[in-house]
Amino acid sequence: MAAGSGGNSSGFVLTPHKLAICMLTHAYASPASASPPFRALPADARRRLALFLLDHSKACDGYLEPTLEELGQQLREAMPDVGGMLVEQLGSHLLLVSSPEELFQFFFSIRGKSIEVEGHDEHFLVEQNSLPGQFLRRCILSFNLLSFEGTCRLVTELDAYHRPALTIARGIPSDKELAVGKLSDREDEGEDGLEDENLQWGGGNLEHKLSALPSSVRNTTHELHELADPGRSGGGGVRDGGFAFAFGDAASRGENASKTSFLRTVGQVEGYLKEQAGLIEKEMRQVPMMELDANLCHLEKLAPDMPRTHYLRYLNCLHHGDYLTAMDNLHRYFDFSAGKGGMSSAGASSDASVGRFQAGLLSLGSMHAHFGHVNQAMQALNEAVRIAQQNNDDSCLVHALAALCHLLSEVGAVADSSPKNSYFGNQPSLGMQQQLLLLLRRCLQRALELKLPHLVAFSRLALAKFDLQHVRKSPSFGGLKSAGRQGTSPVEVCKALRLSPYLLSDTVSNSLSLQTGGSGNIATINQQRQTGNTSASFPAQPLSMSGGMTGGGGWSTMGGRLGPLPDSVLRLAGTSHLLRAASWELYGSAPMVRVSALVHAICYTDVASADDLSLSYVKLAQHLAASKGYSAALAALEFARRKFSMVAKSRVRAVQLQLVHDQALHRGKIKLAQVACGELSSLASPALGVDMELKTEAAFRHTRSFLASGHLDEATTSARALFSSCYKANNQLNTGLVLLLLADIHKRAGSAVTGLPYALAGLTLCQSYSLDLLQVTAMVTLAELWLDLGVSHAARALLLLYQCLPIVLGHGGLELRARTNLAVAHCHLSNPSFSVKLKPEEVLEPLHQAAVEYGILEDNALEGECHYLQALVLNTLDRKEERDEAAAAFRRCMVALNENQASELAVLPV
Amino acid sequence: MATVGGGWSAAAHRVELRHAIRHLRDRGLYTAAKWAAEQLVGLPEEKSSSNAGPSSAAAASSEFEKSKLKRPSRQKDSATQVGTGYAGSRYMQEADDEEEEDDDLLLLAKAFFDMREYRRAAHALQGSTCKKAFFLRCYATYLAGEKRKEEEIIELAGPLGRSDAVNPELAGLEQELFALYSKGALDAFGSYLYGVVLHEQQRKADARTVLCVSVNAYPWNWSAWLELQALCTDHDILTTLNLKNHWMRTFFLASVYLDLQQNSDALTLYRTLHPLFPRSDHILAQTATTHYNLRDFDEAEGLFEELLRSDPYRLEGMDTYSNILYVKECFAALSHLAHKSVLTDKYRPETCCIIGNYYSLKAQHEKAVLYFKRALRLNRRYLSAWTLMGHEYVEMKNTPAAIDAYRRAVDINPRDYRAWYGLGQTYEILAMPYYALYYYRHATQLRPHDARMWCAMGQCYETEQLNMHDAAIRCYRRAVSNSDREGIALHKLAKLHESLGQADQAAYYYRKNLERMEADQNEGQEFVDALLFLANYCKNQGSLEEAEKFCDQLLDHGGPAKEDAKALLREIWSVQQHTASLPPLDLELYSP
Repeated sequence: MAAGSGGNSSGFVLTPHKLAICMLTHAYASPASASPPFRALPADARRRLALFLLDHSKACDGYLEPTLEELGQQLREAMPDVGGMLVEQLGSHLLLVSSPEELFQFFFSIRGKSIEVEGHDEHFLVEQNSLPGQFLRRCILSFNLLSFEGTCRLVTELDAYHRPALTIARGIPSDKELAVGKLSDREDEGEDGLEDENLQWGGGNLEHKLSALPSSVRNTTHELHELADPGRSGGGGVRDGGFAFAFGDAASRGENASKTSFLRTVGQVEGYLKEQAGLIEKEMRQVPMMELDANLCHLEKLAPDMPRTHYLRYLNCLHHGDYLTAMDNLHRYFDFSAGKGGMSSAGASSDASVGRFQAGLLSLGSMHAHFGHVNQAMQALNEAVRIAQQNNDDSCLVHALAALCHLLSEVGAVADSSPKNSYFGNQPSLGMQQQLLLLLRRCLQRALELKLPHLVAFSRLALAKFDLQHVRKSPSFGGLKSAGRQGTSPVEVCKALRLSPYLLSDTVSNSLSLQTGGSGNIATINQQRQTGNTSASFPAQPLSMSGGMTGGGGWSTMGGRLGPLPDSVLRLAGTSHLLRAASWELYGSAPMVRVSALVHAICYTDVASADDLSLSYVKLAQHLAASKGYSAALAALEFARRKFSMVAKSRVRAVQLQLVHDQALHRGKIKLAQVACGELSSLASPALGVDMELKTEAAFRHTRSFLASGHLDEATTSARALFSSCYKANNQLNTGLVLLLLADIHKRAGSAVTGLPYALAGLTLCQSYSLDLLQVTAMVTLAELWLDLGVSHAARALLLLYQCLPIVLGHGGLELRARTNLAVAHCHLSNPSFSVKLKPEEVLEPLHQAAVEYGILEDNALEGECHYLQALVLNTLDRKEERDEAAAAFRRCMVALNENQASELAVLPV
Repeated sequence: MATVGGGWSAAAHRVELRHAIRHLRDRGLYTAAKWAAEQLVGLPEEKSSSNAGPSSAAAASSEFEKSKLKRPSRQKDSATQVGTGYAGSRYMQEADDEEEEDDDLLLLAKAFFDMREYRRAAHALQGSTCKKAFFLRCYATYLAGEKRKEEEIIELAGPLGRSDAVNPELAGLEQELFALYSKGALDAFGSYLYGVVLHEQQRKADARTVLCVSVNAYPWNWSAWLELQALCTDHDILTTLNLKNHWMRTFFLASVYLDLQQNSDALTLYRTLHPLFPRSDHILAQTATTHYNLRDFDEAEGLFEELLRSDPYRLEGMDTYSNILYVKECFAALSHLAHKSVLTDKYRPETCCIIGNYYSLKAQHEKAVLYFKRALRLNRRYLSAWTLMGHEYVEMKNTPAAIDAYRRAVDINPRDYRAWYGLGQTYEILAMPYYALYYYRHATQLRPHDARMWCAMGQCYETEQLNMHDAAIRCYRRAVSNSDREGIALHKLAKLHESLGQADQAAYYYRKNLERMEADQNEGQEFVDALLFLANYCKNQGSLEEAEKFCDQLLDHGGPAKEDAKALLREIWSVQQHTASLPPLDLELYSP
C-alpha cells in the first residue's frame, strides 16, 4: 500500500531513454570529452540540438517513453543534416555500455560537465539551473541512489533498448525500401538462436504480433507524428517489423521486459491521463473504445497504483454507453483513490480521507443522469449533498447542487417518471420548478461565496435559461395573484446573459492567482456535462446547458501550470453565446441567432465541446434553410457531419432529417416525409425521459405529415396527444406550437370557426412568453382564419397582416414571408371593396414575392397558387403576355407537383 | 454410494498412489506428492500385508477390467460415484519402465533441483532426451523464472507502484511446449506444465484444455487439478470440461464446489469420499471448511480439533479454524492455537493470520493489522488477510484504509462476498447508504441464500435518507425465507409493516418473531415490543382473550411496557364487562 510507493517520491526513475538524452546532452555540452569523442557540430545544428534536448527533457506526450528508433526518427527530423550521424554515434555509445562498470564511468564523466561548458555563448543551456542541467543532475542523483541490482537492471534494460534499434540502424543507410529488403533477408537466413520448429512457429505468429503491437507499443506522440507526416508510414512498417523480429529472436527475454522500463514519471503519466480524459470529454476524438481500453490495460499493468486509470476507463465506458463496466470502474476508482491523496498531485481537499467519497456519489449521480435513471440519480445526488454538508466540503456541495439543478430541470420535462410527481397533483411540475429556482439561487450564492467562477457562470446561465423557459409573476406585484401580470422577462434573461461573459473574462485574467480548493472535484465531475446533453428540453433545442458543468480544463493543461480554470470558463463563455442565440431565436430574430451562433462557431472552436460546437453549426444550417432554401442548408450540414464524431453526429443527423422532412412536405413527397419522420423518432433513445426534445419534435412532425397528406382525423388525434403531453411536462413553448398546428388543421378542414380559439390561445401564450416570431405566426394564422370566415372579414384580416409585416420582413424566414405575402394578396382579392384595376401592384407585388419565395422553398403547390392568382389578375388587367407567362409557370408547377406526389421514392440521404 | 467402499478398491488405490508418489517426487512435484502421500495414509488399514505391494499392480488392473464390465451405467451418476475404472495402469507401467533408465545426469540435476539450484539443474539436463529429463528441465527453468520474478517484484517497486514483473522464461517455455504439444508428443506432466504456462499468460481457455488432457492422461497429479480449479471460476465452465471418470475427479469436483460456495454439493461429495479414505486429513479439513462456510461452527470446530489431534503440526486450514474460534470468542483456544503455530512455523501466512485474529479478539487492532500485513508480505494474494485487515481498519475507524483493503481482496477474487459485504458496511458507516447498496448487491449476488446479506441491504433501504420501505420489505422477506438465524429480519419486517400501517402483516411477523424468540428463550426488548403490539392488535381485532394472554405475558417484564399492559388490561376488562351487559350485540353476529 502506501509503503510500496515510498522511497523515490519524485517518481524520477533512471531509464535507458533518459540515459540516451543524457548522452545527447553530453554530446552537446562537451563533445570532445566523451570517451570516443562526439564529432563537433556546426553552430546552427547545435542550436537545433539544444531545442531538441529542451523539448525532450520536459516532454510528456504519452505515458511510454519513446524507443531508441523513435528517438532516432525524431532526431533525424529535427536535424536532417546531422541527425543521422548523431543517431549512429549515440547508438555506438550505448553499445559501449555493457556492464555496470561502464555505467559508473559514464556518470562519473558527466558529473562535472553541467558547469564547465566549452566556451560557446549558449552555454547557459547546460547551466546547473537550466532545464537540461537540472535534468542531468537529477539523472546523476538517481543513479547514485541506485542499488547494485538497480544498476544491473539498467544495464539489462539498456541492452533491450538498443537491440531492436540496432537491427534497423544497420539496415537504414538512406533508403527505407532497402531496409525492408534487408530485414526480410535476415529473416530468411534463419536466426542462429532459433531452431527450425521455433522459426516456423514464430513466422506463423509474426503477423499476429505485427498487428497487435502498434496499438500497445506506440504512444500518442507517435500517432501525432504519423498524422503530421503520412509519408512516414513506410518507416512505421519497418519499425514494427523490427520489433516483432526482436521479439522473435529474444526467446530468452520476456517480451514485457522491454516495455516495462520505458515509463515516464508520475507527473507525466498523470498528465497523459488528464489529456486523454479531456479529449474524451470534448468528444472530439473518435477513439474506438477498445483501443483506449487496451492502452489503459497496458498502463494499469505498468502502474497498478494509479487509480486515475480506472477513472479514465470509467469515462470511456460512459461515453460508449457501457453501463455495467462504467459503474464497476467508477466504484473501483473511488475505492482506491480514497485512501491515498498523496498519489495524485491535484489532491482535492486537505483531508483526503473524506474528500473523495462525496465526489464518488456526485459522479455516480451524474452517471445515472447520463443513462437516464432519474430516480437513481436523485438518490445519489441527494446523498452527495448530505455528505458534503456533513463533511463541510463546500465546493462539492455546490457541484452537487448544480447537478441537482440539472436533474430537476430535466425532471421538469419528464414529470411522469419522477418520484415526487404524486405530491403535486394537477400541476405536476410547478412545485418542481419552484424547487429548481430555489436550488439555482442557492447554488449561485454558494458559488459566489466560494469564488468558483465556472459554477457562478453555470448558475447564471441556468437561471437565464430558467427565465427563458418559465413564466414568472412580475416581482413588483408581490404575491397578489390577481394583480400580477404573468409573463417571461426578457430583460432578466438579457441581464444574466450579459453578466456572465464579464465575469468570465474577469476570472480568466485572475485565474492564475486564484486558489481554488475544488480543483480535484472539478476534475471528478467533468462528466456532468453529459447530463446536459440529455437535458435540453427546448423546442428548438438550442439550450444545451452541456457546457454548464465542464471543468475539463484541468485535464488538458498539464500539471497545474495554468490551473484548471481558463478552459472550462472559456467554454462556458462560448455556451453563453449559444444561449444568446437561443434567446434570440425565441424572441424572434433570425439574423441575431445567426450572429450569436457564428461568434460561437468561430471564436470558441478550440475550447468548446463537440456538442456545443455541433449545436452552433446546426443553428447556422437552420438559418440557411430559413433564408436560402434547403439545398444550401443540406450542403452545409453535410460539411458539419463530416467534421464531428459519433455523439455529436446524431444531433447533426437529426437536424438533417428535419430539413429533409420540411423539404419533402413542401415538395409534396408525402412518402419521403413519413420515412424521414420515422427515422427521426428512431434516433431518440427508447428510455423514458431521455431525449424528450427529440421525441416531441418527431411527434410534431408526424402530425404535420398527417396534415399534409390530408388525414385530418389522425392529425387531430396526434396533435391532441402531443398537446397533452407537452402540457403535462409544462413545456409551454411547444404547447404554443401545437396550438397553432391545431388551428391549421381546422383551417384545412374548412371549419375556421373552430380553429379560431386555438389560434387565439396560441397568440396569448406567445404574448405571455414574449415569443415575438411565434406570435407573428399566430397572427398570420389568425388572419387566414378570418379570411376563411367570409369576405366581410377581409379588412380585419388585412389589418392584422399589416401589423405583423414589420417583424415578418425584418426577422422572419422565407416560409413565413411567403405565407404572409400570399395572405395579403388573398385579402385584397377577396375584399369586395378592393379593385384590382385601380391598384394592381398591391396584389401583384406580394404575389410575385410569394411566388419567388415559395420557389426557393420548392413548394410547388403554393407557388402554383401564386402563379394562378397572378394569371387571373393579369387576365382581368388584360396584360396577356404576362398572363401567359404566369399561366405557363402555373402549369410547370402543377406538373412538378403531380410528379412529386406520384413518386413513391423515399430515399434518405446517408 | 456406499457400494464403492469395497476392499478391492482400497488396495487398487494404494497401488496407484504408491506409484504416483514416486513419479511425482521424481519430477519435483512435491506438493502433489505430499497430497498423494496424505491420501495414501488416509486409506483404510491394510488387512493383510501379503497381497499388497507393487507386485499386485497387474492383478489390480485386471480387477479394473472386471469392474468395468460389471458396471456399464457408470457414466450416469458419475459425479457422485467414485469410480476407479481407468486405464491408467498402462501409463504406470510405462513410467515404471522408464525408471530404470535414469542416467547419471538426471541424478545430478535432481540433486541440484532438490537444493533449489534450478538454473544449474536445467543446465545439467541440456541435451537429455528422455521425457523425465525434459520435464525436469522445463520445470526447473520455469521455477527459476518464478524465483527471478519474485525478486523483481521487490526490486521494481517504483514510485508508480508495484510493477508487473513477468516470469521471463514463459515465452521460451511456451514455444518449446507448444511445438511438442501440437505433435502430440507431450506427456501428462509436460501438458501440466504447459497448462501452467498458458495460465500465467492469461490464455485461460487454452490452459483449461491442456490441463484436461493432462489430468485425463495422469489423474494422480493433484497440482494439475488445483491449477484447473483456479481456472474454473464459475459453474458453467465446470460443466464444459471434458474429464474422464476417475476417483481423483471426485476430489477435484468437491474442491471446486467448495471454492464456488456450493457448499452442500461439496459436503455430499466429501461424505462419499470419506468411507474410501477414512483416515485422510485432507478430507477432514475440507469437510470442516465446508461446515464453516455453512456456518455450522460447532461441527466445524469439532472436525478441526480432530484434525489437530491426528496432525498437531498442521498449518493448512488452521486460519479457518482460528476464524471459528474468533467467532465463538474462545480466547484460550485461540491463544493456544496461535502459540502452537508460532512454534511450528513462524513465517507462514496462516500463522500470521491466526495471530492477527487473536489480537483482533483481544481488541488490539493495531497489532492485528501488523500481523495481517505480515501475512500479506508473505503472500500478496492471501485473500482472507486482506478482508480481515479491512475488518480491523473498520474497527479502528480508518475507513479509507478499510475500503482499500477490501477492494484489494475483491480485485484478487471477485467472488469474495465477505469483502463486498465489508465494503458495503464501511460505506454505511460513512452514512452513504445509497452508495453502499452497490456493494451489498454484489454480495447478495454471490450469496443469494445468506440472510445476512439481505438484512444488510434491507437496512440500507430502510435508512431515513433513502426511505424506500417497499424495497426494504422485499429484502427482509428474502432474508426470512432464507432462515435468518439472528431474527433481525422478522423484527424489522414487523416494525416496517407497523409503521406503514399494515397491521395484519405486522401482526403476522410479530407472531413469527415471538415464536422464534420463545424457541430461543431470548426475551429482550424485541420480545416486549412484539407482545405489546400483538396485545393492542388483538384488542382492536376483538379477540380480547388473546389480547389478555399477551398482556399477562407482558406483566412479567418490567419497565414502561408493564404500565401499558396494565392500562390495556383494564381497558379489556371494561370492554368485556360492557359486552357482557349488552347481549344484543352478540345476537347480531348470529343473525343471518
